[in-house]
Amino acid sequence: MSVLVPPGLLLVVGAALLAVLPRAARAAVSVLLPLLVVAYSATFLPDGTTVSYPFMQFSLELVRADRLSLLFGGIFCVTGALAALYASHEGDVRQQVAAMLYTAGAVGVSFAGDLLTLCFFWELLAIAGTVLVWSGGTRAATRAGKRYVLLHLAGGGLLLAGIALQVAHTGSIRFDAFDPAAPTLAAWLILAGFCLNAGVPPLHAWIPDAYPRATIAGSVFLAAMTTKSAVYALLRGFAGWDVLVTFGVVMALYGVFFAVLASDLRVLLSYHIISQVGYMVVGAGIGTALAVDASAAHAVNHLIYKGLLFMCAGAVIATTGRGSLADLGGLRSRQPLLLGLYMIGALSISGAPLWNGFVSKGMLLKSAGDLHRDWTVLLLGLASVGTFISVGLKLPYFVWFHGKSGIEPKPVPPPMLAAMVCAAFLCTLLGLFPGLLYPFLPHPTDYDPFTTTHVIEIVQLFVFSGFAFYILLPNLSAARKTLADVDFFYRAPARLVRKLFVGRVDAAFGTVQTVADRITDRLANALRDPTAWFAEGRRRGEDYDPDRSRPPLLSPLVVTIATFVGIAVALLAWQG
Amino acid sequence: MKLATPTGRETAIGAVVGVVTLALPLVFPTEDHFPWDGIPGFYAIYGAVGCAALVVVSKWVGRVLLVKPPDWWGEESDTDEDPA
Repeated sequence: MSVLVPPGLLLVVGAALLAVLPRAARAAVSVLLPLLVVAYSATFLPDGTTVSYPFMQFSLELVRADRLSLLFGGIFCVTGALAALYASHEGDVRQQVAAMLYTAGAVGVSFAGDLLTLCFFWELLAIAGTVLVWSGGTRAATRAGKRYVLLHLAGGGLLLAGIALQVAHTGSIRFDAFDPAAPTLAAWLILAGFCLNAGVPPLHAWIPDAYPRATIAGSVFLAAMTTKSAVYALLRGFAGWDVLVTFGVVMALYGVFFAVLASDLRVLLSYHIISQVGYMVVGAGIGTALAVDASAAHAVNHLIYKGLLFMCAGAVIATTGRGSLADLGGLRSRQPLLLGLYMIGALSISGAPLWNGFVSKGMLLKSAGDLHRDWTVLLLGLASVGTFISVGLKLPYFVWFHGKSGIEPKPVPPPMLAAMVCAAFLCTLLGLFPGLLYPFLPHPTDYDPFTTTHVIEIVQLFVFSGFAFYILLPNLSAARKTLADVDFFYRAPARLVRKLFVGRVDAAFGTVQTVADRITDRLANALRDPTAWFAEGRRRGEDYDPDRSRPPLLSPLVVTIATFVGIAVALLAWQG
Repeated sequence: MKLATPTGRETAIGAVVGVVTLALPLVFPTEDHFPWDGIPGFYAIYGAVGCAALVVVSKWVGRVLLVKPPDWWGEESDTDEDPA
């Protein structure tokens, strides 16, 4: 048995520590601990290390370090540290603890060598993610968080059901690649659980529902961990499953389609998570060495540029107090630096040459092209166009250029700025020198993205889509709106079900209560004084007349006799 | 369908950039990988048509099906009593 501590558990301990530390120390620990965990993993967990503990008749493999897990574990920590730096001036202890646990979940998933450990950290992601959504503090955040946790617990249930079947069939809990040639029910269930977290439509609606409701910093964390840990799980377990290529292409297009319509900054960016994760899912589906490399590299690049984009959107919201394109505009001269940082993220996500998205997208398209998957290449190209026009043109146009809104933004807090500069630096560094990332990819590669063909193709694609965008610009609306997505199919029935089973039952009980009260009232009034039944009574409006209003002598006699007769009859009936 | 009307200067810049972009493959030789690589300026056409298709189709589907008023779900205001 090894004495090495799993990196995920180190972060869990860190989260416990955060709960008791003073504010200044908390900020430092949230940033430094994930970086220390990277150093620790790189030093003590070389490729091939395993840490396992016996558990019942199984062997829990808390750590299985190989190139894939080290890459994902490492990048989750780096992203967690950047996001923590971005959030460091806020000091909300609940959010800091939840964020650390959330990072721990993603790191734990990356190093999990068996399905039970995987499932444990999977659920940790779900729970910590829910707390992050709830940190938003609004009623919308509370309700979106409830939907988030219900969906993820359902996804975790699918996963656990698959694991139970898998253990029943094979007797092993090891997390290995599932054979695409012989898919079992267990594998399909586990795949469904992974797909929910990856945001494969129609299991994706929680992303644009929950992420925009979290706090500014919370959504930076959320945008990073859950979907990309699912990509890791797909790469590990389902590489080469052809169905994932279809899923991925659908995701890539579905996301941009909604993003073109979206008018809330973070809703727009959330739809782009789905789109970008689609590329990674395609890579997992193709499953060749280059495709897996491309998918992993795209995950790394995506974590950095998507983090940067969410940070910039958050900075806009933090400095102006507005999060909808409808209320923004004309900030170009007020926030030139923020615009520059945002554009680095936007060009990276679009896949423009010199930035990191260009490298991994090119790698992915090459892996698809090598197998003559022409439709995949064409449709992913269309998704790139959609990404460029929505994140690269539409959003910055409505935030920084369009009109003059006369907004006086507050200055961007320095920690936020520092985190954004770091992320923008990494986007550019990995875009200019992609070779820096290659040694860490699962399979050694010497892919060269900067071929004249590739560069010219992308330049033509973007320049002319830019022209078309300019011409069609008057058709794009920044008006506030709700986008109905497949969440309609569970949110609308939820109202109906609630109306039927809570509203109606409530109303029925209310009616019964009213009727019962009324009957009791009547009875009590009527039985209060039986002698009054025999009084002639005084009619309303009549003067008091002692002869008429006083009960006659007869009535108490009648009542007394009737009572005794009643008792006698009852006794006789009982005896007989 | 509303269309933007570029100014003379914008048209001139656009024309220069467009021509330069289209002329790039003439200066720097490119390789053919895909069936469509033989079509000159394929990516330029694909970019423009793809962008137009995305904007037009999403706008239409949005109007018919997807775009609802703000706070369609009635969750945005914090003061309301929980309606559902």
